[in-house]
Amino acid sequence: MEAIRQYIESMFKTLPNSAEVLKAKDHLMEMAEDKYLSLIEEGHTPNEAVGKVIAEFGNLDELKDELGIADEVDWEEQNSLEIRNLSLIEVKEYIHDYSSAALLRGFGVLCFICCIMPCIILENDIGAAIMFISVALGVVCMIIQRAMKAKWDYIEVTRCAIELGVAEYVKEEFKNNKVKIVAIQSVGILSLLCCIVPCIIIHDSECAAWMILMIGTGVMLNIFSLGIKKAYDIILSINPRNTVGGKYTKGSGRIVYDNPNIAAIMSIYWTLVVCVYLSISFITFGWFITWIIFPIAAIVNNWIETAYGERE
Amino acid sequence: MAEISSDVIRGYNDTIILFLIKDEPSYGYEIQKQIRGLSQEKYIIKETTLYSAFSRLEKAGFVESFLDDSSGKKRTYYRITPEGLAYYYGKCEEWELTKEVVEHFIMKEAKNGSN
Repeated sequence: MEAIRQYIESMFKTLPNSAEVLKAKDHLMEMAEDKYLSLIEEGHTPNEAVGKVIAEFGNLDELKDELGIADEVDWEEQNSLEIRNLSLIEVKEYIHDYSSAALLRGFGVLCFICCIMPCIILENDIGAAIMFISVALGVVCMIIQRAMKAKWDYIEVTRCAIELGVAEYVKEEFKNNKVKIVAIQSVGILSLLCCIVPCIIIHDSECAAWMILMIGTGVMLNIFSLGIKKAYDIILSINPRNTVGGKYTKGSGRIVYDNPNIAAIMSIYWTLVVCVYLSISFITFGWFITWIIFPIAAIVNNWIETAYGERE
Repeated sequence: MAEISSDVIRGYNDTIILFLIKDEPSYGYEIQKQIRGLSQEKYIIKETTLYSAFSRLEKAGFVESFLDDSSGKKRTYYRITPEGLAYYYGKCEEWELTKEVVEHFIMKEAKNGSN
């Protein structure tokens, strides 16, 4: 049954995402499924049944007039050779590799940021030695993560496509992982926001070391969560938007919010941030540090977009 | 054995379908199966051909479609309209005439096979 579904999906993959096309696809699928099940009931093996259904299915040229797709069918014939079809396994592997590379990249950055830590804490030669080791480790992480991604470079250069079923699976996976992504990002933001805390609690020079560690961790978790999100975004935007398989491809990229309160706040978000910045700065006269509001606001903005927003 | 030419039968797909739904509504695969059975496996209509005919007949107002899941599976059923029935009778007459005319030009020897 899955083979038949795939056969029909791939036939329709490059057709426009119009009501007529979707109706035709559903209807043909319904007939093919009925036929398959009845052949199985008659005692055919699944392979025979699939073969028979596909052999007797006909082709889409016949439906050109009904669907208003004359141009697209020709277009498909001309271009079908150049489109590389990604299988579900490849897509899963891509998302896995891309996410792992993001984690490694984040860890590399953590190594760079924290390399100064041992010098602050140990204040001797060993501290300096560990600093160099930390930098080296960071470089190694960067090289490995690049190599992990290199395998998939063709996705960006060749024209690739995924079937609607695969797109649906990825969309579902993304939904399931959204909580995880938001949680990682939240911990990251929290870590950045609280980086000042060690300096409040600890009153010697070591506090700087802990502050650096918290900033490093925060940056790492943000890089990781953004990396996972981007992997899903790339896969879901792979199909042209006007085709059946491109159902989930991003449109204008504008972010919309279901919750009207959040939508209202987000529409004036940056104006609000500027107001807060000016108010706090004038009240405290702490201009030298209040600029920190902007990077924090940018991270919070991203976090709200991931947690509550939906791209059009 | 001679095979049926899809160009020739195309003009009569509509008639065949209307005949099969004129007494009670039916759905895609059932119609396909009946065509195969009644023609003794001599005519197997393709899914795409069938869908193309349904869609044309529906646009012309000769059939109406509706969804029904009383058989346990949700399927699109087709029901004939009074206009469809009138069209069907018209096509039957047209076929009688066509057959009569073409018959004059068919060699009786060839009809019994050329082997």
